[in-house]
Amino acid sequence: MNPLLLALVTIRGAALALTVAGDTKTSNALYLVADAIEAGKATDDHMRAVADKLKERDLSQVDWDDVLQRIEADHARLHSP
Amino acid sequence: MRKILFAPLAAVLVLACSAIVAGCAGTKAAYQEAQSLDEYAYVITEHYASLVREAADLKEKPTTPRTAVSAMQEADKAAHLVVVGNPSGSPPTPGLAELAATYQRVRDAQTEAELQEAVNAAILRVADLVRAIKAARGGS
Repeated sequence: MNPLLLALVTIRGAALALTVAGDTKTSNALYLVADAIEAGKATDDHMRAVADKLKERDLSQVDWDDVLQRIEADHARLHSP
Repeated sequence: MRKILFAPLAAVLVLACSAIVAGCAGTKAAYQEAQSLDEYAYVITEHYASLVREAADLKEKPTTPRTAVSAMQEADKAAHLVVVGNPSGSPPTPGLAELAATYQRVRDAQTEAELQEAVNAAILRVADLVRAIKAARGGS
């Protein structure tokens, strides 16, 4: 298993056990750590896919249009009230 | 020669990324894979796209402090201006996509310099956004 994935599973498992045991303060902290790692992992996974795409040496206007559309959608979401 | 030029600039972003989470291998791989200035511009644009998504997700979490959300929004505005450009501005400013397309079409020293300048600015603004996201995660 991917070490990072293993760490995530372990941390979330520990957080769940602590929640069940009633230590919500510590379990919340562990959930936040897992969330932070997962968010960073999402970007890193995405960039790995970008690296794989570049290897094809086939960038086109369609690729640019696609990324710009995604940016605008999430930019609007970030700045919405 | 171009890879040598890109390397120190890419290091800024990879370092910022590494400060957030162990395991930046994918991000590093993408920057290393770029072989031309326009490919580099595409990598930065995709990196920014992923970060904006993260920032938007964090903003929608009720546990993210409002101050952290404001900081991400400010960092994003600055990065958006450079990466996407401002076609309705006065004067209108092109983003990386437009500058890359012009450079690919014309391939002269001026278009290369314009794209390089925009890439340099984008790297710094994207690094600021990375830091704002890191702070938002830490504070939620």
